[in-house]
Amino acid sequence: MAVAREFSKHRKAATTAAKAPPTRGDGKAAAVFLLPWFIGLVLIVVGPLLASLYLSFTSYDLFGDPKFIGLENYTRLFQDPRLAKSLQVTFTYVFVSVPLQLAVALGLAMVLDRGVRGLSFYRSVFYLPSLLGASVAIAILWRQLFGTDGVLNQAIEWFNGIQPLIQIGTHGWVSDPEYALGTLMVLNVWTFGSPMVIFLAGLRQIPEMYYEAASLDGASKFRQFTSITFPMLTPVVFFNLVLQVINAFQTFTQAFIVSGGTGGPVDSTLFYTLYLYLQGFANFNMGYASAMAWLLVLIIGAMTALNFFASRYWVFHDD
Amino acid sequence: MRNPMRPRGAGRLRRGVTVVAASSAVLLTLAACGQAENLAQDEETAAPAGPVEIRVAWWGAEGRHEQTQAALKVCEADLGNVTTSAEFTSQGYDDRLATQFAAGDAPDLIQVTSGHVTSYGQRGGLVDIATVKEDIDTSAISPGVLNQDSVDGKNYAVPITVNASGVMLNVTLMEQYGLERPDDENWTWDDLFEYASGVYEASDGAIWGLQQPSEDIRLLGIWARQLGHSDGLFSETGVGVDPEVISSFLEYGSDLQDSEGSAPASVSIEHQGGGVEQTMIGTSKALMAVRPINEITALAAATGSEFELLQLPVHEAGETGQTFRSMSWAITSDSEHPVEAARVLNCLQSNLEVADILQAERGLPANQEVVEHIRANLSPEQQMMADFVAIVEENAPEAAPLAPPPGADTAEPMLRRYAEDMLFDRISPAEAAEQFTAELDQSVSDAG
Repeated sequence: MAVAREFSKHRKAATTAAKAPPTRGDGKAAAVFLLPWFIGLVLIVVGPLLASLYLSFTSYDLFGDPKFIGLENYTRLFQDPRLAKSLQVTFTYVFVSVPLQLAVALGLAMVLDRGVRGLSFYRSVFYLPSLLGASVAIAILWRQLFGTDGVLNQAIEWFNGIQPLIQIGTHGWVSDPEYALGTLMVLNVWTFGSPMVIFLAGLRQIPEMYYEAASLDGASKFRQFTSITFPMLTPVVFFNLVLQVINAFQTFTQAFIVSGGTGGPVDSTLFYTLYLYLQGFANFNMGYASAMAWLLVLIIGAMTALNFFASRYWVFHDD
Repeated sequence: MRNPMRPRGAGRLRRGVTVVAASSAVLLTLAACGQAENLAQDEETAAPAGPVEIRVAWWGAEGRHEQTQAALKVCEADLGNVTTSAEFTSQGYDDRLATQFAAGDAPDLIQVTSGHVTSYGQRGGLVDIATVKEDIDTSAISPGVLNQDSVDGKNYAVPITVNASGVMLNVTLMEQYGLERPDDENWTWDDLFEYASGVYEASDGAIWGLQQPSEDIRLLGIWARQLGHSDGLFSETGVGVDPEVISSFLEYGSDLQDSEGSAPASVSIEHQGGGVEQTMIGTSKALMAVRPINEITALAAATGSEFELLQLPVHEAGETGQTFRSMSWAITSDSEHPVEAARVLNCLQSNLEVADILQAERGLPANQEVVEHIRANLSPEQQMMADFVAIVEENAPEAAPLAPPPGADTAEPMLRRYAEDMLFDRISPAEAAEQFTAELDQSVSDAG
């Protein structure tokens, strides 16, 4: 304890010293070092961002010059049945797969937190899908696994064959509009690694003494979870929720590859971003695609704001 | 401790700022010069001094890349004042091209399909071939093939291959299951239906008769022409035929599925949309399929089977309604050297030394002198294609179908979407036809 107190005193002294009034030249040095990043920001992010804002008020087919048409693209957004369909697909995906993914991540994090032998090995193995999940190779593999002749259907047939009681139907898991979106949700849940690692770090922060006190008072494991673990973990849950919701809204690669770039079968995997891409690069409606992009910005912004607002009622802050 | 360092560091940084500022000024000036140079080149196109560089873009597999680059070397030597730079890709060609067009940076000479020709041509992205006709000799290409993709009477591309839809028959599978060869002499759609419906049972459920045809927009166009709509599927404002025509086409596919003539929806749909080797016929799950005839080589390679090409069926004693479709070369409007690009194009499509290198890898050449030149080297499949095309040319109607209007670029995925909905029994063929027509008309009116 004494050491820590001494350390924090020194740290405090060091930070105060650094806050000495800036001398001339400091700002310029910072500016120079920031310049490469700043140029990148302007050319690669802000420039195109503003350009797309302008294009969203135009009719632009990539070949001719953009024609200013006012709010027409935005009014069209509300009359487009495929846009409504893509919103339905995307919202379903976000509301179902994100909570599921976080639940799986938290569950596994808690198992690993019990001090399993070879923890770092398991952590790496479980993290792996997070790195691979959005890759083209995995999406292609997924297509194979869930095809009509795929591994899943073969496993189901084998299972149906060895016992007569439970008979499961085989389906074209990616080619049947009833199941295609569900298959993509499973793919998303499978990439639970990155929220899991964050949960694991969060679990490590909860002081052991709370559990000791609870055990002495005779609290069950379940009670310990609802009264200690989850409340203490809510800031981390919140953080993961915000990140994963934003990520899920931007899902593109998996749907693009699994549906062969169409959002099919029958628009059942027509994610918002995929429809945006098709409007821009297949239909050459770049103005409309830009308006769609800005609508997505608004939607994600609104969802994040809603998340922050709701967090007041369920996120527990220790300090 | 930090103070002694400060003055020196700050001085260096101040100099740094000056250097950065100066160099960005230089960069800006250079960029301006670049633009000025471009402008100057524009004025000089009539008489370029040194060799001009022509950027040539295509998609394909490894073999095509090597052959085409070798061919371009021959053209460089032949033309003298031209150098070429190759931009090839095996996938993502359309996206890249669209982006390059948007940036005003499209290559000079591009390999295109019928779909590109209409959608780029209508939007002013391609050079009217008539403006460079002194430099391109199209006399060895038959008029039907040459004008197949014309838009409002203008040709925006020169065909390099000739292709058409035909019925592929897997002869190896047919013999393996002891099936009789279908009688394709003047056969009708009903004949095909009847034959296809018997295959599933005859093969003990191993294969289906015909790959599901209802997602094929080109076949729908031919179907419409066979029913007397010589302009094909499209008019200037969208769909040019009654919904009943489309409905009858979709119903054919739906009935075929119900009679086990083609696979159930989820199997069929899983095999659509990928490359030819992923299709029902490419995976030996269907005995026959309506496909572009040039795929016969790839199909033979993918399945290890022997294939035969059958002519398309017709409606009761009707027209063949056939149309050609090709791969072509086109010159982009962004090109600063359309004349040189035209010369390179001409060399690629007609030079016999080039023909020796390229052979028929892209398909049966459209240039008949080239076909004569390489005839001895044609594989049996390519020979079959040549015979097929000769019959099509003999019987095809004079008039080419109307090009799809702007906004109809998406007709193909759109038809596929409604066809899939129908194959899963979620809507009737009549509903699918009506909704398809309404959406396509809307898309065309939005674009206009």
